[in-house]
Amino acid sequence: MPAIASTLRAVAAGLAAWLLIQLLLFALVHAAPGGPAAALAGDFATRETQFEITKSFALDRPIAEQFVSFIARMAQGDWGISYHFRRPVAGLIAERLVPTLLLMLSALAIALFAGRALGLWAAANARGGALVAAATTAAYALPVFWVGQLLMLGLGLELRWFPVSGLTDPRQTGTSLTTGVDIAWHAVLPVATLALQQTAFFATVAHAKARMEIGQGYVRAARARGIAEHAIIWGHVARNVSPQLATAALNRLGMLLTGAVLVETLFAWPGLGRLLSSAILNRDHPVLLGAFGLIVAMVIASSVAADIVQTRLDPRVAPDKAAQ
Amino acid sequence: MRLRWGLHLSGALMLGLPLAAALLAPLLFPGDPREPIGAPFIAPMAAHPLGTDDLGRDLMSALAHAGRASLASGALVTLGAAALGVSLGVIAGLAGPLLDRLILRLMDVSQIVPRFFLALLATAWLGPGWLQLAAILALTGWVSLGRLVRAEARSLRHAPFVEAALLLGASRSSVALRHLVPNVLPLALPQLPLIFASALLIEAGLCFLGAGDPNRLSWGILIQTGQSHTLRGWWLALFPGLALALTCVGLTLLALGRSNEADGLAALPAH
Repeated sequence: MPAIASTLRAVAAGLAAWLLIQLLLFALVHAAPGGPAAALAGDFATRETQFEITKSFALDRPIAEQFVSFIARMAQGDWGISYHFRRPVAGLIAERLVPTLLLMLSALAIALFAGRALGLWAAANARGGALVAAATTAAYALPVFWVGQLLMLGLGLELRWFPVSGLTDPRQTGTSLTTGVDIAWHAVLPVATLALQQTAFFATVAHAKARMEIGQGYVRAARARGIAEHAIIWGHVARNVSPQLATAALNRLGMLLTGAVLVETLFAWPGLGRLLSSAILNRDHPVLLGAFGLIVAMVIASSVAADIVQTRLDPRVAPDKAAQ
Repeated sequence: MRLRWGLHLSGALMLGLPLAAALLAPLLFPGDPREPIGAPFIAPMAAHPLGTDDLGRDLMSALAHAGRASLASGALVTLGAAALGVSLGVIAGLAGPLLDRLILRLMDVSQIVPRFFLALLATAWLGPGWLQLAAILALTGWVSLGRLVRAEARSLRHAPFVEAALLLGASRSSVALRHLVPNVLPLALPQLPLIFASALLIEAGLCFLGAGDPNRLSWGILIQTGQSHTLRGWWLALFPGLALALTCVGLTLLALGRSNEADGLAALPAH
C-alpha cells in the first residue's frame, strides 16, 4: 500500500525534524551565558550554593549525555522538575494545556464557521464581495493584542459586560456547573479576540478557493440545469471549499499558537503560551524544553496530518503532488 | 481595476500618516521624547493631543520618534529577507538538483518552528538587542519569497533567452545576475510590504510579552507600556497599537492592490 508507506515516511520525517529541533534548542539553552545555576541561585549567591545547584540538577554532565538522558526520560513521561515552580514539568504543562486548547479550539471552530460563510458570500456577490474580501485580508494584518485591548477597553472596562482577566472568578467557589459557566464567561473576550483574527484568515482562504471553484465547469453545468444560485454556492461550491479550510487550519497551527500566546498574556489566561513566555524570561530550562517541544511537536504533527487529511478528503491530490 | 486603485490609494493613505510623522519627527517634535514634560497620565487634550504616559512624557512625540526606530528595523529585515530570498531562490532555480534539494530542505526546516517562538527564544537568550532580532527575522522571513522566486527562476531557466545566453558562453553567475534577477523582481516586489508588516507585528508582539529592547524607543516598547497601564490610561494602549495597525494594514493593502484580485492568499503576512 503506497498510501501507508508515504504516511509512515511523513511521520518519520516529522519525528526526525522534531528531534533535530530539540537538539538545537538543547544546545542553545546550554550554550547561553549565565546558565540556569546562576539564574536560580540569584545575584548574591556564594560559589558553594551555585555548585550545589549544578550538582543537584546534574548540570555538570557532558551535554550529549544530558541530551540522550533527557530524550529517554521524556519518552517515559518524566519531563524534569521546573527550576522555578519546583514541580514536575509534565504535570505543569498538562495543567496549562487544557485552558490553551479550550481557547484555541473554540476560536478555531467559530473562525472556521464564520470565515467560510464570509468568504463564500464575498465570492458569490459581485457587488461588494471583492471589497469585503479585501477588508478581511487587511484585517488579518491587525495586531491581535491591539484588537484584544480594544475589546477589553470597550466591552470589558467601559461597558463591564465581560470579565477581562483570568480563567475564573477567585471569589466564587461553586459547584462544577457554576464553575463551567464562570469559565465560559471569562472566555468570551479572549476567544472573541482570537476568533476575529482567525476569521480574517479563513475568510481569505475560503474566498480565494471559492472564486477558483466558481470558474469551474460543474458550476456552469449546474447553472445551465437551472439550479438556484444560492444552492450552487452553499451546496456545491461550499463542499469543495471545506477541505481547503481543513488543511489551511492544520498547516497554520503555528499562527494560531502565536495568537494564543499574545491573547493569553493580555487576558491573564493561564495557558501554555504564558507558561512558555514566563519560562523564557525566568530561564526555566526544563519547562522551556518541555513546552517548546510540545508546541513544535503539535505544529509538525498537524502539518503531517494536513497532508494525510488532504489526500483523504480530496483523492485527486496524489501523495506526490501533495509533497511539492 | 477600480478596486485595485482603491486598495492602493487607501493603503498609501494609511501608511502616509505614521510614515510622515516618523520622517518629520525631529522637525515636528524637537527635543528628547524621553524627557518628562508634564504630569503623568494626562488624558488627551489640546496641549498633549495623545496624552502623557506614566512618567509624564508626551505620547505623540514619543510615537513619532519611536516610529523611526520601528520602521528602520522593519526596513532592515525586509532588505535582508529580500536579498536572501531572491539570491537563494535564483540559485536554487539555476543550480543542479543537489543544491536545489539542499535549499528546498533549508526552506522546509526554516518553516517548521513558528517564527514568533523562534524570535522569542532568541531574544531571551541572546539578549533583547534590536539588531539581533532583525537578523533572526530576516533569516526566517525569506522563505515564502524564496519559494516564489525559485519557481519563477526554474521556469525561466529554459526560456529561449536564458538558453541562448548560456550557449553563447555566459557564465551561470552572469546569467543569474543579468537575466534572472531582473525578471523575478516584478514577482518579488509585491511580497516586500508583507515581509515588512510581519516583521513589525512580530517585533511588537515580542515587546508586548516584555521581551523587547528597553533601550530603544520603538512602537513595541510604547505598546508594552500601554499593556501595563491599560487600566489607568486607555490612550496608552490605544494609540501605539493604532500606529502599528495603520502601518500594517496599509502595507497589506499595498500588496493586495498589486497581486491578483482573486488571490488574497498571497497577501497574508506570515506571522
